[in-house]
Amino acid sequence: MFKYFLKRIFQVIPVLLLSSVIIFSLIRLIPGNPALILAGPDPLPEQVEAITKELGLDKPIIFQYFIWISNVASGDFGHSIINGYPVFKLIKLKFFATLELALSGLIVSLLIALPLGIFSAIKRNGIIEKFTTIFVALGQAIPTFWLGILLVLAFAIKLRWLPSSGRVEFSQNPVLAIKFIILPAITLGVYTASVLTRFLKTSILEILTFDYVLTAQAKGLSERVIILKHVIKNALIPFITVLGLQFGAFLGGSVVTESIFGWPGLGRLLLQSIHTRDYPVLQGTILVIVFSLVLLNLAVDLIYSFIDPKIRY
Amino acid sequence: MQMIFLGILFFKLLMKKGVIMTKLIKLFITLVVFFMISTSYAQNKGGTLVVGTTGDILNFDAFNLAFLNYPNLHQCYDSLITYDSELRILPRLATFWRVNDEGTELTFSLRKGVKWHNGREFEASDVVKNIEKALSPGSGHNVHGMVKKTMIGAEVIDKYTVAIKFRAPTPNMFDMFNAMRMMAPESFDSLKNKCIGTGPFKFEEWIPGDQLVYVKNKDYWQPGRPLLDKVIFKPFSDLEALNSALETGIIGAAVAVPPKDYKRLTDAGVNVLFGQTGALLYSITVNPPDPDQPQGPLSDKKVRQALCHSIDRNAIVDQALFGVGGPTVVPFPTYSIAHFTEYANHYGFSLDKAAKLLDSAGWKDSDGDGIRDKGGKKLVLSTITIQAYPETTDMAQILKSDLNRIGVDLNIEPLDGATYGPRHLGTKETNGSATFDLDVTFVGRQHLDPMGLFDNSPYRPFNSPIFPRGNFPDGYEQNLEKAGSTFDIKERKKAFKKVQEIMLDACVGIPVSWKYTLFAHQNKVHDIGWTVNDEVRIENAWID
Repeated sequence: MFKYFLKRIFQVIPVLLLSSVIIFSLIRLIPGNPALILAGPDPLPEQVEAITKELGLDKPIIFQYFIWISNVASGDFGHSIINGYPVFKLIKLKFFATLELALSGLIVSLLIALPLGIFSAIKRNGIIEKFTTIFVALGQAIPTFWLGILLVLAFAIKLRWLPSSGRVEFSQNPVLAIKFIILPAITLGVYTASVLTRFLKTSILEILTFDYVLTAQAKGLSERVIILKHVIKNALIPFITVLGLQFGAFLGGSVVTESIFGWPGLGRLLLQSIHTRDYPVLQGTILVIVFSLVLLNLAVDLIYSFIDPKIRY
Repeated sequence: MQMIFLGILFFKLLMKKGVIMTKLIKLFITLVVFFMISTSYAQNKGGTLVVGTTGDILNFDAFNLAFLNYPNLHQCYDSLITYDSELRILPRLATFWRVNDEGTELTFSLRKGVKWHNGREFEASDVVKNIEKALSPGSGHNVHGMVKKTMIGAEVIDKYTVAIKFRAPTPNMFDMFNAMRMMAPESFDSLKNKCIGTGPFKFEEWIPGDQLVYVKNKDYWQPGRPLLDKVIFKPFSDLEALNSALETGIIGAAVAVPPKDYKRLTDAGVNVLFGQTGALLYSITVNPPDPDQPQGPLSDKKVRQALCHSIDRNAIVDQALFGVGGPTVVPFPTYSIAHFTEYANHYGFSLDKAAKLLDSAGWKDSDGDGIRDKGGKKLVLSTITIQAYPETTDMAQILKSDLNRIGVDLNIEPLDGATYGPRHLGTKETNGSATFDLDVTFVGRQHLDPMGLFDNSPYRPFNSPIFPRGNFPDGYEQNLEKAGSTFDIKERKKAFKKVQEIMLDACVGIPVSWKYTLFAHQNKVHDIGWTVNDEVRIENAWID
């Protein structure tokens, strides 16, 4: 197991290296020049030239790449072109906000998906299954931004129960922090909950037809034991794969939710740095997201072996 | 206490009888009402105001006059002089000024005892260093464009006196010093993420994309100001979130609220105020091909004039700006010395006139597909718009629909800031030539001295992206030179009139509507102000 872990960690290096090349080249393909942003509106050509030179953007792209990657290799992600902040400091500031939101979204998804998925599979043709079918369809059809706006309208503007935007750190005021995170977490979690519910239900239904479940039934085991001990445990393996992928998507792709709720996370940082062509921040953020996804996949693989002892690496 | 005292007095008077009683009751009621009014209008000191903005500031360089940087300018920094809304010059860091007889030297006497936020005293050498920064292309940002042609440099006369020298008489010299905020020279290297100024608020913290925090400058030179303890600027990348935050009280005020939300916010009981009329102007820049490029439809003045007749300004103000605008054919507001009433209706909206002009230019729909053509080429134009200002795209949609009615097709390209810049201004690769047919944009500072329009906009007589080879219409540069180098009002008016005549005839810049900056605040927030350039001012603001 440890050997497998080490092997996977070493595999991360070429993945990150390849990613860095792709990230760097793709970002440079986007038209635009950060010097124009820095110079202010309608600058003169000589001003743009002076700032481009100062930023080192006049050097050949390959040269720029090697400078950047060698700095990254030594742990220096550089500084933001626009605001001069160390990129790593910026990412660290935003990463925890995103992680907090992603975990909350995940909790919301699990709170919905686990009971709905399980009960709709074992209580066929009942009211729960009908409700689940409607929820799954709506959850996947409703765009995130629309749901977010609706929630704000209902709970922040009309009922005034919850704040419409912003973030308070848990360490400062846990109660207020929870109030602030409820709406974004629901917005983020509903779509994933619908995906997970459908996946879990299908998985359980499939496992219910397996011979070992029939054997357990023939042995006279109670339905509760069969479901908990034999069905759910086996259904969790594909479920966790999807869960891992969805969590990865939360980490890298909650831009819409973060924008609607003014959540100061990685998504907004990414969006802002795209708008300003802040190359070091953009490259650093994407690289960190890629790294997180690779680690997440590794974690998912390791969790398999805990759930199913037959899986050995 | 006062209430108790008045109550006792009233009770004692009740004990007495007579005619005097009625008069005293009236007096008592008057006193109580006066007391209540005076207490309710007393300016409260202290508290924190959270102000929402439509985007994060870029940096703290006061010479970068990007719209996003506006919230920062008047909190951290101060200028030597400022204008009131009637454009009268008021003292700030300078208490006295004098222009020499030739109009080539401006001497400022500086306010004594003003301290930078780091505790050091503000003095004449600081002004000189700021001017040196402005004169350098790499660090002068937008102020460089204003000063590069005329300003030579500055010289310290004594600790509190500084003289600024100009190459020629410079009538717009005060505009430069209204825009030029003084930054502590020791902060020049760290302006990317912090500031040291002399303004009413001191920088405390900036978390990019999250919040910018200022605290009260206790040593501010203006007695009793600022009233607030703290101001926090919070950027909102989603405009819907900004409005919701304002409606629900997460923020106390907001700057540059989009026009489309004006009604929604006022209906929700939020106060929405209009900034300085004429401070900003929505306009459409027309880019004729350069002399060394293949000639196209916009090379023909008649086609450009047809475009000028195709702008339905009223529809644009009603539908794209939701009534928050004011149609205008000329770029200068009524209070400007360059406003001439005879030109105010020069280009009325007339698709018939536009169609006739296109006919006479030889553009006709020969194949009956609804789009005019000439020499086998279709009359298809493209316009760029600014994504961050969605109303520019809405304006382009209205124009497209009107142009379609006279057989012209228009493609619309909304661009983000970093892509818009190179297209709008041209690049080294395009030899400084802009790459668009039309550009729905906005310009500013033309409301002060009219020369403001010609230092940092596509209409500037140097490095112009629409005339990169210097191929300006006849008389344009000469008249601008004249208008910008004399204090003689009559001469200036004459020159500006000629420039406008040329601009209207050439149709390269089409004014559309005034752009109003909307400042919104909750009822409990009072006295939020703004400069003539619509930069928010918080030093007088207070909260109930």
